[in-house]
Amino acid sequence: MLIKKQITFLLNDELLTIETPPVLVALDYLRKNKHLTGTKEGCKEGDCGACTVMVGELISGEVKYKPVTSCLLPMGELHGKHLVSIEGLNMNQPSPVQTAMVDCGGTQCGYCTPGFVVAMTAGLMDEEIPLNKKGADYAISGNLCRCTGYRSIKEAGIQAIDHLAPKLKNKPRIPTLCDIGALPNSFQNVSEKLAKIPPLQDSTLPDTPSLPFVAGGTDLLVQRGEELADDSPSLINNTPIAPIVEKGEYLVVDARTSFEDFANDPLIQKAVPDILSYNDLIASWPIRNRATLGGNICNASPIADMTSLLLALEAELEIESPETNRLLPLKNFFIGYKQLAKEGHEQISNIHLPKPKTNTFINWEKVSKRKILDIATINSAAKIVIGNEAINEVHLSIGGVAATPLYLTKTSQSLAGKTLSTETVLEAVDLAQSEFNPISDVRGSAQYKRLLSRQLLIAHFTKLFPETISEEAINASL
Amino acid sequence: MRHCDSELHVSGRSEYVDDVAPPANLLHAAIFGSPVAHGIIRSLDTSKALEVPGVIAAFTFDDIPGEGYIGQIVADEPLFADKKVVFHNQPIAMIIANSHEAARKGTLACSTKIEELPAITCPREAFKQGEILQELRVFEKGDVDSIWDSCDHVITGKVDLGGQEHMYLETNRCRAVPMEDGQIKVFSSTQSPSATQKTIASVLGIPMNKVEVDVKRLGGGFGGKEDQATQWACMAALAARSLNKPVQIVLNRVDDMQMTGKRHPYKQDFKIGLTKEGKILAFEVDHYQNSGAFMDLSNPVLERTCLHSTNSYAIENVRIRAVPCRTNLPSNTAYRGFGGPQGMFPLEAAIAEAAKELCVERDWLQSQNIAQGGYTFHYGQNLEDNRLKQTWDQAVADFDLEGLRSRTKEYNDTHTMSKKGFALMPVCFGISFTKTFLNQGSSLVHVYTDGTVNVTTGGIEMGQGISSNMIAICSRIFGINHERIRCNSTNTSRIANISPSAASATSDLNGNATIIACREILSGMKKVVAKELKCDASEISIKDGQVYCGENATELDWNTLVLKSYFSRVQLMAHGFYAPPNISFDPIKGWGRPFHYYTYGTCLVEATVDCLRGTYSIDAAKVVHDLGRGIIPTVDLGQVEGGLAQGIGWVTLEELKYADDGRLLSFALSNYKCPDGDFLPDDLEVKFLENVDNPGGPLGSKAVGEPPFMYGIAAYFAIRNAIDSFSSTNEDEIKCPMTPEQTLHLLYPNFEYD
Ligand SMILES: Cc1cc2nc3c(=O)[nH]c(=O)nc-3n(C[C@H](O)[C@H](O)[C@H](O)COP(=O)(O)OP(=O)(O)OC[C@H]3O[C@@H](n4cnc5c(N)ncnc54)[C@H](O)[C@@H]3O)c2cc1C
Ligand code: FES
Ligand code: FES
Repeated sequence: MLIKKQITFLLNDELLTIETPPVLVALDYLRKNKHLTGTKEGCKEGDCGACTVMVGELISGEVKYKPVTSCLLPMGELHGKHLVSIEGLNMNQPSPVQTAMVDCGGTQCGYCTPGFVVAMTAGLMDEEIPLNKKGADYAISGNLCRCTGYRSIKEAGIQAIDHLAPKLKNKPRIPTLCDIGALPNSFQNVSEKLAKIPPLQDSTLPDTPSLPFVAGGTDLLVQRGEELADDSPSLINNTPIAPIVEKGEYLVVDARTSFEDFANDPLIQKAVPDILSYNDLIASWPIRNRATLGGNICNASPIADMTSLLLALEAELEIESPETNRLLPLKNFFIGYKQLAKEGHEQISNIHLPKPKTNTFINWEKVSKRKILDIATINSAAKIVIGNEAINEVHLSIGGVAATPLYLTKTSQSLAGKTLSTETVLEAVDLAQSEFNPISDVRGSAQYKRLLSRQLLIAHFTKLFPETISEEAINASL
Repeated sequence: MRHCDSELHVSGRSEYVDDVAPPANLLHAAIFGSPVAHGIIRSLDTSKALEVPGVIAAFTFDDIPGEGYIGQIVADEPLFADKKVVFHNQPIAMIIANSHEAARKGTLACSTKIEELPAITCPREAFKQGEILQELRVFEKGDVDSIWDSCDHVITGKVDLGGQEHMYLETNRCRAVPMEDGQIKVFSSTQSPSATQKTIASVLGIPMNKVEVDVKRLGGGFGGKEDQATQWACMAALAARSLNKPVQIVLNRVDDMQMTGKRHPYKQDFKIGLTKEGKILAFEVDHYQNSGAFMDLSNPVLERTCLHSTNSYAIENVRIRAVPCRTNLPSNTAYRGFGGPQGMFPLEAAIAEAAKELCVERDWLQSQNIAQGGYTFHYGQNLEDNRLKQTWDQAVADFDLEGLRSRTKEYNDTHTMSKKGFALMPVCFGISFTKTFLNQGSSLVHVYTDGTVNVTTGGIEMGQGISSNMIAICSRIFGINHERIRCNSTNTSRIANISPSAASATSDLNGNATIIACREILSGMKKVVAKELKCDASEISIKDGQVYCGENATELDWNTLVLKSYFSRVQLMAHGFYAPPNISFDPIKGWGRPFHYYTYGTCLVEATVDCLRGTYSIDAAKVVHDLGRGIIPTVDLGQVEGGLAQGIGWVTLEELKYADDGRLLSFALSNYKCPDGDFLPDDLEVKFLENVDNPGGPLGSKAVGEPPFMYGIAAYFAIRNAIDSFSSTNEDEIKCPMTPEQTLHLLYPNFEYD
């Protein structure tokens, strides 16, 4: 049943109070209700970036902006926030980003262009994103263009950064960008405006949450967006997300933590040193800003990337409902294709990650057709604890070869106590093949998945222990 | 000057069909498509759809007042399925509602019972079963059969060449508005406004002069909206006229991908014969074109495949056989290169195989056989100059091929699990529609009394920059600043009988027409002031908006000139018409001079393969391209880079997968992957031949839209070249695209798990 929701938010420079279906996506709201047509629809599933907008949120007194794909953004989440579309970036004069795109020939048919401009601008506004080529590429990881070949767009990104970086040095970015005419002045006092919006009086919410839960919506709205627009599912991201904390031997992570926040958290970076490089291979910046760990786990896709990592990290789930609160190892959570060891109304509240012991080595591998913004054909993670003489513990996971993300129980066990050597690894990867039975689909044939899974399992060892396990030796064995 | 829409684009202010403020009472259409790829419709029920709140009407084949079948070459395609369905998601019914959402719900409420028949997706299989759209065609030169014996090496092979989704970012869409007296005005995202106008008239059973088609711009076309935007416009027009309300149809991505055709996949057999010195003596190729369910443009696409089957190479004995095969897929259609890429690929594959057998470098073999001036192609046209070879030589020198060769070798010698490779690709692409009659362009130029100018042509702006080119041409011919000139939407009421914006020829045809129109206006104006300045009209010129008499600036500026002309009752608008001379082609004999001229170039691509994981990166793509005298540098460069990018995508990531029952498995952007900014190399360099002219193109320019696409083929062979340093490739059938899957299989040909 559709229960409309009243929200107050800032749309570009206009403060609005509206009644909205909670899961009306911002793209439709902008284009159809507000006739703001600069935001384009290219796919309606988060894959093209033509619909990119920014959402600004007040966090400890400051507004932080993130680019997101408006085609998967429920309006019901925008209370107290700032929604910025391309129209909200336009000034009397083109901004440096806009100028650079024109100068470099970064726009041809123009359909993708507003999305690129919003994403590039968001990259400049985010203090965490470096003002260099790497930062420029990071910002547009979620945008496709079919006309240009990207050279001109990438050059535009650099040109804008070259122009702005000196002026932004050691200065807070957003106010400075406003001062130098790179952002409309209306961005200056957004925090005051948002602070004045009273919190939502959610008297309309029923006692039992209506299902399904929507976290980031990046799976659910792709699969069921049209249908849910007429419904009032629970938007579980509407309450503040708890920061990641240490509790004894564990790190406790709010299940609603986004991929982006997860990878950028210092505690996580300490536990999983290469997390940022894995992050680059998962979805895109705008999607990672929305996609949550809990959603990744509960969507139960066999190729869920974070899930494969969490499996090898021996994550445990805190599962909660008004009646219960229990802890379950993630590897026991998947009982069949899209079947979970939980009731529909149970929510994952937290994820517990054991802190790595000394001499722990972690690696994650993913191969997809396209490196960035593509679903894995196979992903795999390894956590290996090395003792004085031999391997102490191994935890291997693999995705894309079975109906669920897989923890390789037999193979992991078989390695414990063994000496690290080429033979051990080859035996293990052969044993692994007996633990799954891949099927042919759009991501590859069963034979390919067999071969690729073997290669990625090997890759853990050649990457982590290049001195002991040489690629040459492994190669010679095939 | 930049692309004239740039500033609108970067601010999101440029309007596409459905961005324009909707007219009152706008209704929305959605399509109910066939659940199976092949079968006989036993029943169809749309009544439940009419019960969905907001739904107003449903249309099926029986509701078409005029001709139910459409098609530019053969009218063989029913607008809605007629008693049978021949591809998955073929439109069966259209639901009209007061919102897009309600219309979509309406389609979900439709039901049909279909007696399923086996579906064919492979063209070889279709050929075997006699499912062909046209008789087999043969192009021949020399005497292939008697030459094989004198060859030192004869190599045969098979190719499985994939198709390609257009993936224009803007899906198909159209808005149709009923007007007084039974007229209808249609705003469509089409490359072919006149074909759209004509087909709507035929479907509705009304004269063409009651249908006005207007096209402001497209969010990308690439050939996908040449013939296949028409049906959606017909549907919107049908509903608009019968309900007497404006109707809009906007396909969602999945419908667009499932319901429209793509670049034709081919299956091919080749046979190549060479001397031991590396001279290609004979080449034979059979093309089985996967045409899809209807003719669409398959015939001319296949023709260009045949014409370009020897690409840039001089071969004295050639036989090309080609047949369009009917399969249970949406009709495959025009796509940048128009069959040319499919023609060129097998010969490149043959050369790669031959190089292996002869133990020589592939590029050496290519260079030994590149056609030079004076060579006659198998369809009778001569190569008139040596610029093709010039691009090759310049690429080899400027991009330091020999240095690259030794660096690559050194890298491969010192790396076990990572290998580098490179490949060159020469391109010789004929410019013109091979259907000679389509080679005509029109332009209408208006000069207003305030000195501003409007130009309207038959060219469709789809990002390629045709509007900017037209403005640049007006600006140069008139001698005034481009900011005083606007380019209008393309409209069938202003320009009649427009050829599709295709074949790379749009700028040539319409640009030359614009020059003619501008000159006609100018000549009248000059006469007016010649009298006053007491000089000959031929001595008068305009530079930067100032009137010159010989070398000397006069007091007169453009605005005054315009006003004086107006008050002297001299015409300030003109229509220009252009048809390139010297082209003719007999499609039956396959002989003549089909092309106005050729566009040439050579591309070098470098790649690195991760031999553990089967992934690869494209490290560099470098091109020497013959552009003649370019019109607007950033626009031309954008065309070369964009074409190259699509070409690279075609041979690497872009994989259309069909289930055996004919369903497209790669039906969304989540499972069909085109290149992104990370995949395409930062090291992308385009050099233009310097100091070259082209008498055939406007202002000495050359057509640039399609030829660069084929540069991308180099990426395929660069990856293969890297793989060859790791394992020896020797597959039964050469498969393109070279996906990471294909790459890993080639790296480990002996892996098998049972
Ligand atoms: C363009 C695009 C690219 C993507 N790329 C990748 C990729 O590279 N790798 C990858 O792994 N995934 C990818 N995804 C999938 C998706 O982003 C992730 O799976 C993401 O983690 C889902 O999280 P969410 O919060 O958006 O889930 P939602 O869509 O909100 O929810 C998914 C499911 O989980 C349930 N759920 C969510 N949170 C909870 C909770 N706390 N407790 C109980 N149930 C819950 C929901 O009810 C729903 O059934 C991509 C998606 C898109 C659109
Ligand atoms: S429309 Fe493509 S990402 Fe939103
Ligand atoms: S400019 Fe056309 S899609 Fe990017």
